[in-house]
Amino acid sequence: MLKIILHIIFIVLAVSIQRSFLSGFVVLNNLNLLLIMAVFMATLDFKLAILWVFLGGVLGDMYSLYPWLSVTLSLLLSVLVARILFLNIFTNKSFGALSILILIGTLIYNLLFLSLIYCFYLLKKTSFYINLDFNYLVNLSWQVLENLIFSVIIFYLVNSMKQRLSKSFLVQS
Amino acid sequence: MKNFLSKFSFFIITVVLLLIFFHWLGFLNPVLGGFQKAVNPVQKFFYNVSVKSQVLFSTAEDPKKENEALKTRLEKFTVDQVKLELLARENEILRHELDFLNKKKYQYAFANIIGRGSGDEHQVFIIDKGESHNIKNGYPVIFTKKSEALFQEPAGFLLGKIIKVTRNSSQVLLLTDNKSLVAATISRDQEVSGLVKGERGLTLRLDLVPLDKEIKEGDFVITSGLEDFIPLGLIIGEIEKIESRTGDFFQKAQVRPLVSFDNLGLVSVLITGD
Repeated sequence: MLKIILHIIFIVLAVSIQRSFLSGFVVLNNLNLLLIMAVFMATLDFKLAILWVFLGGVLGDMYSLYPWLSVTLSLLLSVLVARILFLNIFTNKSFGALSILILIGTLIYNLLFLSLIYCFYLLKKTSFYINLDFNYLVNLSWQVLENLIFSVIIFYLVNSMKQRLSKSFLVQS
Repeated sequence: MKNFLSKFSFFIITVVLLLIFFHWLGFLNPVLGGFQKAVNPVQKFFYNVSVKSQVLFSTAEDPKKENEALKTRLEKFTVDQVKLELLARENEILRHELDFLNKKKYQYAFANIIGRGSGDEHQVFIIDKGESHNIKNGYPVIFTKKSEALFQEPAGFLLGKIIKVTRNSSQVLLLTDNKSLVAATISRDQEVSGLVKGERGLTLRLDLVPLDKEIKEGDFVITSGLEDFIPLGLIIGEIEKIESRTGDFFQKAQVRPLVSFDNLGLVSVLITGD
């Protein structure tokens, strides 16, 4: 129970840091902290990853300009694909495997998010859509780069604190 | 394995459908409102830290000098001094806001900025007031400041419009966003009508001004009152450069915003509906 509560606190912090702290910086506002953490959790404990997807996604949707569940569904698919790839192809828990999963997760997240927004726009559920222009590609490239850099930090932090973390942080799946 | 996958898929699909259904019915609103009430103060804290960090980095010129200045500053600052300065600033802002709003007899709600849109949504602010504070889509969001060089009294500067409202938070589309459009006129001659559009998060453009109307550099652009919820007289900016060419059907001009959209903390939402 304590582990679940800890994760809930971390999810709230991740969403708050992403929306309120990082979004103020021109360079860092593309970092998708929620996505990185959800994909990372998918390699450690899938049940907790689902908690990150739904709770983090709902909080993300609450503070998002776009329609309800855009963030949650995009996160869900990214995490599911990451999990399947982790179980079948990138089975070693190496830094390289994690990086590739983060890269694929980021691309799938953005692809699905874009598709959902356009669907909602066509169904007149929103009057906002994402312009597919040079700026979008630049932002996407920055997001990929920042996500990869941040995943390095997460990876080495977790590895260095692995024993302590697994006892107090992770639920046995 | 197949059994697990089918159970898991069923679980996921059920959760997603339930979320959509309950949200459509409105049953999730009290729950989400409660979440927002709990999370808004956390967001406000992180946003304030972000703003202060940006102010710190933007004034840095020489690392050694900056280091010395920071050390001196750190020695001088105490916790009580920082609290006092914050209170004094908020007091001044509130006094200016009340002065403008009382004179114009608007109903209003003060709101703190608690976050910004990220990536593609960058020209969007998140504020900590929503439906439960009578805020609706389309309401103008203003900032009042005393600008003795330009005006005789505290003036309302339009920052943007409310574009999405939830129970305890709202999203504000800034004037400089590409998707922002505001019906405008100029303070010198309110017969002139046009449309102010945001450009790439940096500047504004006044467009669709008829050719027979005169506009000049230095004219102040204000809201024309032709839109629902946005009254006449909110200041948008100052005409910096006329961009019309021979053969154009309408006049265009570049407009410089008179308020910086960075480092804002407290804003007012004008409640202009019923």
